[in-house]
Amino acid sequence: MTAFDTLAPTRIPPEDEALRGAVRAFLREALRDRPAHERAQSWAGYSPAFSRALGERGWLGITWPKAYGGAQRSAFARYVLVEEFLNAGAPVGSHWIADRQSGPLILKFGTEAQRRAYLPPIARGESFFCIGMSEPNAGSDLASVRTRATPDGHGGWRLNGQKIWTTNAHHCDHMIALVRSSGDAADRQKGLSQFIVDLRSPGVTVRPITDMSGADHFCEVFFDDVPLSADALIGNEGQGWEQVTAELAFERSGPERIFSSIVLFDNWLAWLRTPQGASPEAERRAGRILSQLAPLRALSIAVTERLSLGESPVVEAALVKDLGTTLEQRIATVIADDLASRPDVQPPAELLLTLDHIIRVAPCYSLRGGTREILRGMIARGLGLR
Amino acid sequence: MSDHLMLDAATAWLRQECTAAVVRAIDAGASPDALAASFAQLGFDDALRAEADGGLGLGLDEIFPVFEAFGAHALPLPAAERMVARALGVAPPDLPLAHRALVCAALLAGAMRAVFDRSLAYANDRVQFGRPLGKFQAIQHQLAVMAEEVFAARMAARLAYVAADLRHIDPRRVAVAKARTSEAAVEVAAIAHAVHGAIGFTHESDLSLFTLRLHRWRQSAGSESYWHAELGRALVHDHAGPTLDLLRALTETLAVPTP
Repeated sequence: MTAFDTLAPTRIPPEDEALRGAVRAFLREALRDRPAHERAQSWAGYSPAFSRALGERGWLGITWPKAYGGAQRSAFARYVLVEEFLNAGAPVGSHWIADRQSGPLILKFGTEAQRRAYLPPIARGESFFCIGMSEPNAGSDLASVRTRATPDGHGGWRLNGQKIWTTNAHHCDHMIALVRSSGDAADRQKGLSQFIVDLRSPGVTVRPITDMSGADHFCEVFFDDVPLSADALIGNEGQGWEQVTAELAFERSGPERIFSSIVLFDNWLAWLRTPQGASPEAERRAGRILSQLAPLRALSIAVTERLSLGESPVVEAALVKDLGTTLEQRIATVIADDLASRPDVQPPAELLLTLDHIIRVAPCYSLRGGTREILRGMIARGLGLR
Repeated sequence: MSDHLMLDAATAWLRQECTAAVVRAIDAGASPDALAASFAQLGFDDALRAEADGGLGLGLDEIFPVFEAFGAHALPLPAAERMVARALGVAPPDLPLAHRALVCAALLAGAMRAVFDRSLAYANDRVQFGRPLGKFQAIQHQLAVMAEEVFAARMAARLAYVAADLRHIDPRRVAVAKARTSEAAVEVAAIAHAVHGAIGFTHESDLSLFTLRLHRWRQSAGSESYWHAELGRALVHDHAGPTLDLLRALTETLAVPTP
């Protein structure tokens, strides 16, 4: 299997590593009063003001050409930024999708006019995007989407249908939606296209869904004869599936598949370093987690290098995501077991609050961005079994 | 001899001389002397010694794939330990624990790869219910998990070999390497036997030449629990601040300063 042989330990270039100090100093100040259980929201933490502050510093869209508001830096520069954001527990949720995948998608497949219209506001932290993929009857089976764009006879389109589990749709300006533009559900991957939908258009209804943590991060979005102009189409008509597949490789192997529980982990370690919290057995458990984190970080960086070379290491990204999200989930259960294995010792309230939050959100780690079962199927295909 | 040529020479010799039949016979008690004599003729013993001392002057990063090949062929000789011991100028029994663990991690990575390749081939060949086993989703997912373990463990092992030299190995990187390969070895051996069914459990099958080594090497030079405790101490007592900074020290290919 190629994945074993092609991913070698890779060095983050010194010029990108050099960003770390400034980012960390900024985050220390900006997050000074944010308690651990809020920082643990990780990339679900929502703050437009924080996104604008990052935009002002040139830390959004950092890999994009300067003409579109970027800094023309390498993928490793973004890796360093994101790694610092996640480890500090910065509220990066508002711009997360736009910076990670909508912007790169527009840059890769968009027209010059689309790039100039959409990218600079994203880089300033003023324009937020969401991803319209899942539908009520198209979850893991994404190719069975039924939302349809129909030509309106004047070069534009009319959009009808429904998306679901759309993170932050109620706070976003735009959705990039995967919809059917020709044929029917039996055509599967053929006849799908991606459109940029202005969520303030007439006929769009957004309804938040409360999740088991009590938050309303994701939404249902209804399209009732929503008018789309000709330039809402992104990329080529009928190429939506190929575009989405390329997009997902970026979504699956980043630091956010390793560090979703890291604020909790660091908070627990701080407790283990106190006389009351010290325990050799807990240290051994922490050592196991570290032994799993280290190769995952190296693999994630190696996949980043492949992506930056324009390759699409889909199977490698799936391997990293399945391993990473499994570990992120295990961190919470290991810590819960440690704390409860010492019932006569009272842990700090903030640690318990943070743990409770992670236990409530952890089930989604192995659902969002492709379920564990879908990923294992992709790995099997990569092994030649399908 | 470059590292590339050395790997080619090692692989060619292993294919020719270190066959499953030879490994099986030595495992059953036959003398390894003839195999050892043949290996000695390769001139690998001093590969890791400095050129000034009459060695080949190979770096640890360069020797990793060779050690891995030893594991992938279940080489029934302590050849890698011997190479490391000679480079350090000590007798093999006097090798420090960290150096033995370093060797074991590469052998485990190689043996896991061999077990994985065999399991994949068997799943494609063996037909039940009118289809190859590999067409069943339950088997596909087990092989996917096996691939993940092999993939992560190999990277853990490699991290201990990059940007290191034998006299200055980072004990924390060795801990990651030996812990992660040992943990994976148990899972990989179990899935391999599940995929192979009863035939893999027979004396006639070559599978156990490898899976028994996975267990033996896991139990050599400290199992995962030993190294987890070492790593935990390094993380909790010898480190302050974000885990990320220790992770960076463990994973990057050169030492990096803390911001």
